[in-house]
Amino acid sequence: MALLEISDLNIEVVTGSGVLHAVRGIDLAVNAGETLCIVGESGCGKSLMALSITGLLPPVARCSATRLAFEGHDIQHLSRRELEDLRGKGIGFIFQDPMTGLNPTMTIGRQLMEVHLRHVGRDREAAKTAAVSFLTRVGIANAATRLRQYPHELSGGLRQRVMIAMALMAHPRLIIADEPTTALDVTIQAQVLSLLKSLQREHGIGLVFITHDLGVVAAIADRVAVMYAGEVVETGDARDVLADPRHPYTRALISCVPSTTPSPAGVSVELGTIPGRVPLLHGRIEGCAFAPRCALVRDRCSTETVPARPAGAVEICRCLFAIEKREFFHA
Amino acid sequence: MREPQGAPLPRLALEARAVSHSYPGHQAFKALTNVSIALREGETLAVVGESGSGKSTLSRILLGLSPLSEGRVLCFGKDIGSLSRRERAARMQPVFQDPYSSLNPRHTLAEIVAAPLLARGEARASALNRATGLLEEVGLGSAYARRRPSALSGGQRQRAAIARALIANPEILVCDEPTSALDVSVQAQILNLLQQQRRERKLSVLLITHNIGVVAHMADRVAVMRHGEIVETGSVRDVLLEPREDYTRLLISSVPDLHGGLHSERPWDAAP
Repeated sequence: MALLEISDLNIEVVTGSGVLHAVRGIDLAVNAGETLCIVGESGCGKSLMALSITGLLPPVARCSATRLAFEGHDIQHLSRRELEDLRGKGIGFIFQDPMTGLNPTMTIGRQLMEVHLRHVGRDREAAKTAAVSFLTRVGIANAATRLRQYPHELSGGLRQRVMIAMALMAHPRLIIADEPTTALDVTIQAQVLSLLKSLQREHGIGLVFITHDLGVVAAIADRVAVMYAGEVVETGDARDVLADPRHPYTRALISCVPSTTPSPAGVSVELGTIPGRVPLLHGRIEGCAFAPRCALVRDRCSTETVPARPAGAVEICRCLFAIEKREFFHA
Repeated sequence: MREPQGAPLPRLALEARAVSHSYPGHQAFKALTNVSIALREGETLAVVGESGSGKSTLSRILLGLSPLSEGRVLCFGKDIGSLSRRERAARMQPVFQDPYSSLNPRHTLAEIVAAPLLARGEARASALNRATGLLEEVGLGSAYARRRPSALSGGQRQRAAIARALIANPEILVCDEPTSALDVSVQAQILNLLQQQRRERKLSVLLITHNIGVVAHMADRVAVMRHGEIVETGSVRDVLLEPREDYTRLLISSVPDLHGGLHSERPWDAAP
């Protein structure tokens, strides 16, 4: 049984200019101890999808799914109280900007202890000991002193560590991290990634890691789901997907990323690009959402419904010509 | 410094000589300490570093937008303080990070791009005409000339910003994190555009960035900054492939590389 199962998740957002179909028909599963990276560009629906799992969607968004289950139990119709119990104890959340996840008027210590008191036990001394222990575990020196500090007194890297400690305090089985390192410098990002992976390993936590950075995916993912225009277009083992993507969007996205290895002097390499723009998600999209920008588009792409099916080593690929196109790619 | 021997060195387009700068305050903050860099004519020099390393302060000083506490800045051998604003603008132009705040929201794209020409007294009709032509050259067809920035995506805005920087035919482009606010597929388009314009116009480009991939892709030489000082300078291949300083090595090894990451060791993949 998967730790988290999502089937046919749809999210609609009511905007001034009509209803936006921000997430359309997503199926995903995450196992205990596994890292699933969800990768996509701005507006592809990755953050909304993450928020919907824990019932944190803004009021303007509606979500529906045929199944949204955590540890085998459907969590769609939980009461507010039950959801609050689930958040923290079952599923921890780490946001991109630690300043929005931390209360600026409370000390770090009080915020950490609150998690313990709410989810673990009522003993204040034990809560304090746990807070010090988790801060130490995420690599913060002088943890006891830090407890008395306010979020603004800490650097961005330290704040993100506090957020991670806070997510771990209630011993969750799943952590959802939404771009947790995007605002950080690369050297700090490397520390935070390494910390998350080792804590995950130690506690056997399932990790859903949302990012726009394919380099981060290559570094930490066991499995990856690539999102485009509200759909998952390709899912599979991260190494398979990155080494031999079957969806033209994944392939194009990878070709856009500049390598950190410089080419020999005098050799000029042109980066791959994706022509056109992401489609508006207001109306119904006929056929493949990527078809208007796809270099390998054919007539059927803009009319036929595209099934999600396995292609080669990749678990799921949403492309009518996934298998054949591979020959194109390699030609 | 590691430089090839023998070949005659090209002219210097832009040079910082022992530049230091402090921001005033009750505890003055030293943003730059004794920084010397030289942008050669026709090359792309990247200045790379993390937040707070002083790279943006350096770019503002080189553009003549901020004063400097000590040292000299030379533009084609002339002290930048001795050049008028108009002379500076004719030789070098900036492209900033945030295309949402760097374009006047009340003007049409043609007016925004024509601004440098209008500022030096060119006739409005011919300036707008040239602006429309250049917009087309950077991939924004004539329909865009009458639109305002609010109708554009981030990538289209950055194209307009590049057109505005290029219209007065400068010799130097100073790009401060030109693609940091953009998605990777849009970044690729902007980097390709910058490369193409640089080749065609024989521009000298100073590129400020925190992104090692962008450095590797764009730059001929690179200067690594940390805490307001230059840590290491050299050809991009020397510095990225065989860094000499510990900090440079740390910086490079911290970058999760998509293309290398598949094959390289991931420490957490080892058995626990």
